[in-house]
Amino acid sequence: MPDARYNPPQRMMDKLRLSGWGAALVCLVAVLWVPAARAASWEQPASDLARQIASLTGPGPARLLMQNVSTLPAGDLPVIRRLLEQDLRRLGVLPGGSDSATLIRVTLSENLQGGLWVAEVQEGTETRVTMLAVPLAPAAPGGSGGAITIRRTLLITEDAPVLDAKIFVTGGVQRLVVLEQEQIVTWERNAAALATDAWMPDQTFPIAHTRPFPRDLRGELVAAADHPFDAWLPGVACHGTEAGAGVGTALSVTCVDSDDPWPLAGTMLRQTAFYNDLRDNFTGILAPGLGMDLPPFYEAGEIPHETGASLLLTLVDGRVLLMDGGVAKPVTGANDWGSDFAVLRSGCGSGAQVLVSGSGAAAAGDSLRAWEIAGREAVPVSAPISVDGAVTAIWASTDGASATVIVRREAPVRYEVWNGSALCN
Amino acid sequence: MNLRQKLLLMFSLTVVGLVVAVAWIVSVRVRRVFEGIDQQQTAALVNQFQREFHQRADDTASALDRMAASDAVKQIAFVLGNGGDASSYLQAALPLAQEYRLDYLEVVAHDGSIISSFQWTARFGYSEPAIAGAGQPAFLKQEDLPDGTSQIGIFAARRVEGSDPPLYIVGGRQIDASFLKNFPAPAGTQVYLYRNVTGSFDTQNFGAAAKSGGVAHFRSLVDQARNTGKSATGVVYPTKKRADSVDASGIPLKGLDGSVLAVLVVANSRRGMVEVQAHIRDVAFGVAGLGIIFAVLVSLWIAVRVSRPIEALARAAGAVAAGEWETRVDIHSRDEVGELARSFNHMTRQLSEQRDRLVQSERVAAWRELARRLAHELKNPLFPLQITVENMVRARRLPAREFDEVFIESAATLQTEIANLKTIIGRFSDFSKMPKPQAIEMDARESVRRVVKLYGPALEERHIQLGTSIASEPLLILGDSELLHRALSNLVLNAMDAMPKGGTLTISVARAGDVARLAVADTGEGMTPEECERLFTPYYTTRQHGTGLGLAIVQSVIADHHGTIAVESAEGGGTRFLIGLPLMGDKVEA
Amino acid sequence: MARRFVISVLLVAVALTAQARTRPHYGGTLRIEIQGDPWQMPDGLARRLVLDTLATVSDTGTAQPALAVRWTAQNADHRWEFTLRPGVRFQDGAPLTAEAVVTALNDVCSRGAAANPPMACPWRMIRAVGDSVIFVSDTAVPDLPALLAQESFAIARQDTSGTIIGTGPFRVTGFANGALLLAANDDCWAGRPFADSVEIHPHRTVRDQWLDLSVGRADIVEVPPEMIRPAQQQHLSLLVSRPVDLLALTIAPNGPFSGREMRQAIALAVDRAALSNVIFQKQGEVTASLLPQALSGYAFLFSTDRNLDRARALRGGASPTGVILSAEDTSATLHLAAERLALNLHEAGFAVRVATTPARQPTALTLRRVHLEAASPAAALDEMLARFGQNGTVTATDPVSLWQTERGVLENDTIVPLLWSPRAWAAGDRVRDLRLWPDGAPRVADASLEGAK
Repeated sequence: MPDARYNPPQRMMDKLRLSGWGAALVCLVAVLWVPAARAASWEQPASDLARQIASLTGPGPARLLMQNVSTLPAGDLPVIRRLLEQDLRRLGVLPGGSDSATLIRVTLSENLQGGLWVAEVQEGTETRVTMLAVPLAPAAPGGSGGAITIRRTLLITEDAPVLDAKIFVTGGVQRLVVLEQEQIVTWERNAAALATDAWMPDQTFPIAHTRPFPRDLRGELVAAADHPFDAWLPGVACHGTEAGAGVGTALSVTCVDSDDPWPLAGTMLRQTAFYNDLRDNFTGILAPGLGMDLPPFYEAGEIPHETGASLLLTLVDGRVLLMDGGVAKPVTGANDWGSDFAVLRSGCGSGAQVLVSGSGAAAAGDSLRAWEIAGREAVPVSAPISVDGAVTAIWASTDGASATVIVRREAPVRYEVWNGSALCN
Repeated sequence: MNLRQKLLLMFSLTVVGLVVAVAWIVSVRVRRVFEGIDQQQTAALVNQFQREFHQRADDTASALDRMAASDAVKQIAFVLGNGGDASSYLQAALPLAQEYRLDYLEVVAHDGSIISSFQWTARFGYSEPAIAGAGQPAFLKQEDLPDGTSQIGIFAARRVEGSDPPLYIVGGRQIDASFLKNFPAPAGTQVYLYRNVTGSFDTQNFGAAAKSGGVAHFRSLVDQARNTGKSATGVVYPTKKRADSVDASGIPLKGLDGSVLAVLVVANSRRGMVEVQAHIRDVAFGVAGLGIIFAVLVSLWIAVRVSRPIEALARAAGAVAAGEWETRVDIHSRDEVGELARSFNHMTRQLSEQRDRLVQSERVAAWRELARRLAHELKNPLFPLQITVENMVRARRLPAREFDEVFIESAATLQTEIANLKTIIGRFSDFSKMPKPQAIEMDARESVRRVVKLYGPALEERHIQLGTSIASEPLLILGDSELLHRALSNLVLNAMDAMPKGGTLTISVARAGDVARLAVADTGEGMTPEECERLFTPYYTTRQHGTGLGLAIVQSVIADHHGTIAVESAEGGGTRFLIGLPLMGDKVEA
Repeated sequence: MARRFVISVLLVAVALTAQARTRPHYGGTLRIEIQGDPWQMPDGLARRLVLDTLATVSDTGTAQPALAVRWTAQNADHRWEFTLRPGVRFQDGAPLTAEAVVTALNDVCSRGAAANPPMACPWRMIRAVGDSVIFVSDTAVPDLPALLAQESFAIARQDTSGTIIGTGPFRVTGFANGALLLAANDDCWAGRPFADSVEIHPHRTVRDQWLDLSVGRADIVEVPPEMIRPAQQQHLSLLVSRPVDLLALTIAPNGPFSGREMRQAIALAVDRAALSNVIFQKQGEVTASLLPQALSGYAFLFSTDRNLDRARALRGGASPTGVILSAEDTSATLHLAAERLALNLHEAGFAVRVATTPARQPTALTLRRVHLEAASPAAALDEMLARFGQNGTVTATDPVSLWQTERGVLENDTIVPLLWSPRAWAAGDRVRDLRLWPDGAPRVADASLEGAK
């Protein structure tokens, strides 16, 4: 099933390349590997390869040459070499003999499936080869907590397209629910666990549907009052319920064909919107409604103010409207907004920021930026940060404190689920 | 060939010879004049080519100069000089070559490696030594091409202005058929370029001109020019027609190192000269033809004056030879021919008179011989008659009985002798009365069989053995069976007479070609050659009592049948008569 | 190698960001121009749009459900059962049944057997059971799902007029003004495509394609690998695939190169670096392997070094004459590469002439450009063996087995891999969300148009 993501209009992209690129780099906190953890993760592969090499060479001195042609950080090479030498010595192979007739050439390579460590054992004119497939990223999805930024947290990485993912806490159990195109996957961990602790795989529920999904498939997870969550997809509504409490509690998901309107984010207006499952947008018809017809839109969110809340809309034609008191007001300064956004209630500034994606620099993919709506004008209140990929969806959490950002990375394609929040400086 | 023809031929040859001699002299003179003109034209063309070549060379060098100063190549040099990637300029030569209308262009790095080659894109990275000529005048260069061929071009090498490290451009324009096509050669002049790219002569090196054929005939010229490095000239015959021949010059074109890279072949058509020569020849032929006609007329006139009396003499001599002794020729002149005619007439008169005298003497001799024969023949029976009559006279005196006996005996003798006389006279009479044969279709074998049957018993009585050989197939002739029987009978009788003591008589008849050959051979005494010569003369005989008419009759009969008769005899070896009678053609076959 | 791969990835990213706008809109007509034939086997673009396969492959080569929602292997990979996705219909409304799949695949096999080189179907028997398709083979086929993801095994049928019908996102509507016309399949099981229609203009030169792109007459055009750098210089929105086309020299094992040493000499004489750096403008990955390094991870084990001295020594005194090197197609780049190889071989003492036109009959040396569709090492090696007409299939998927199989094929030196090159496309300003399949084909169904409503 294909997926889609949005970005701001192109004309703004050039500005960002010129003015925002440096700031984006400054704000980007790279994912850092903990050396010790990495060393531990190479122990088993090094041991396995040493065993394979020893079976070819037998005990005795040997020259060991190593090279790295993979995307492994250069700093990993000496670590792996040290581990490999240790394991070889333990097996009777003595690396370091510069005049040995046995040459072991180890190449840290990789392919699409992951790492591939290749050992060539050359004795005279005869060369024998052994290989070992090695996970390129040995950490489990979200297991070690992933990359963390001051504004966003990596929840999980999936190969399959992800529509939405949110964490629901019920009965002392943190449950990460991932809405995919054909299934709902749940992971769980103890609610008291650290953010860096690993998610444990839980359950998988296929999404039954009788009509084909649209190509630009969207889906949203929404917390429900009497059960953990609902999942809304075009023409389908799923309800996640649980029968008990604590870790290991059985969760059940039932999906039915449904044309019911999707609940819009926010707690004040409490509007639902009908979804056009042929065009992947909301029809503009709200329930109970605002007393006026709205044009088709992609996303809506509440902007609270002193007397209530306005409804912010990104229209299908690219415009951004603010519905306030039955009047539709075009928002200026939002020309480079994408279609999806989430309203975050940070308590900073005006109290609500709009997290919107924008096109980033050429090599870094899209960016995220926080905006505030001042009157009819959209004003950026943060520097853009790069997400190293394409933003395919942004969904606000039910309480409005954070948002789920889905980013598609390329080559190979994988989907990262980030939790974004606006922190006060 | 008669005299008149000889005279005609002599006069004609004389005239034709004179005309040919004049035509040849004129033709040679014309050829020399044309050759001189051709040489001048070729020299002019070569000079013009060299001027054109230098012009093109200057144009090429100028184009390279402009290119070396252009922003486009300066930019390339700048980028490369600042560590730019040369590979991105792989196709750089293409637009430059098109812009400057060059057939060849290479952008060459300072180390001599090709960065971009218009003519052979794949040669990037390989070295181009021609950058050694950077800054020098344009030069000839042989360029290898991707299709395995080589071409000759006018090249120039330049260093791009301000390039550091140096960047070179080596460009040129091809010298080929299109180059030569623009070369202003006069009508009738062909200019070819032989590219000296192979060890041995190859017509393909003429490029497109090789397809037209005929260039192979320039081989010796080209070989001479490229081997010696000097110009070579000669007449080349592309076809068997002289009109297609050309006066060709091969001019070697050399590269920077002095090696011959190409040979420029300038070929001036000799058609004009050959056509003038042909015209002269045609005129000569016309004049010669008229001369021959004139010679015929003259010879006819001369024949009238010279050959006609001689021809009359010849005809008269022929008539005399045919027995017309009274033939005479007219005398029309007093020259040697007239004197000859007079001598001829005199000679014929004398011959005629001598012949008359000879006939006269022969007639007398014949009568004498006849008289002698008659006397001789008649004398023989007359003598017994005289004796008998004398006996009878004397017997008158005898008693009657005896007289009767004598009388009866004498009367018998008289009758016998008288009958003998009649026979003799009858023979002479018969000879004079030989009838013409009544020819009918008959088989020659029947005549032989008839004779054998008739004379078989008589031969037996005389102890003569008879041998016959008769052909198995019919031998049809047109003949008179009676006359032929008579002739054969005479021959058989002669043979019997020739063998009084017996012997063998052989009679044969067989086919010999288109005649029926009859032979009558005996084993008698034979005859001398002299006797054989006179054998068929009338009244000649070798016998004591012969009339000499038998064989004469035989010869007459055979002659009347258009046959031949011959005799073969040797003294003591018998005699054989051979008769040949013509067979009837188709009927014989039937 | 890795650097180039990263660059390619970045180029894709450039394309994506450069084209990114709002969420994809529906509607509009996408105009695509290509050099070849949209129906050409096995990777014609129209086939991609009209037909589907039982499975697809992810970027990592993992088989993903498509027309089949799941599959199971039995009897040590000798028997496979593929369960079809329910509710899928052909573009004419006929349901996709297991029988239809069997018929379509049997057609593929019968057509493939007549192809040159023959395309072998790895199964002995195929039958329909309910909504499942059963494949039975004599040898283990561990990578059958990935194999069935190849476009060669797309499920198609023809109606009475000969029009090809599939289950894909677009259906054929006609051919007008030199363009193949396709319309969106509203009932596509994978969702209606964003564009209402697609026009594919075949047989367009690259120059014309770029011209049409620049003036807005085309939305998606091809960019040959050697033109990627100029395209970057012209700031075209590029999508560059990973290496998917193998340039290889095939040597006929008979004739002048019947001796293996002669073939070795040829292999040692070729200069891959020049091909990659100059002719392919650094957009290729030199290789001596049938699989790209990024796919197999072990391609570096096959040496790409040039050794002229060794080549001359192996040639000995032999100087075969009349040797023709022909390029497989009329591409100017391929011809240029052939000329370069002829120069290389000339240095080693071989007199080789480059054919001016593609040879109809096999020549002693043939320069081929072979497309790789599979994205998993085992399936890819299987595919390459078939493309080069080699016997045998891959029965084990571990890297060592694959390497041994490949080494066994290459040590005959009848195939000399030279260069892996990517495929690239340039998209117009109004095209959004265009991405590439793993084999470099554009995912047209996922692209949308900026101006559409």
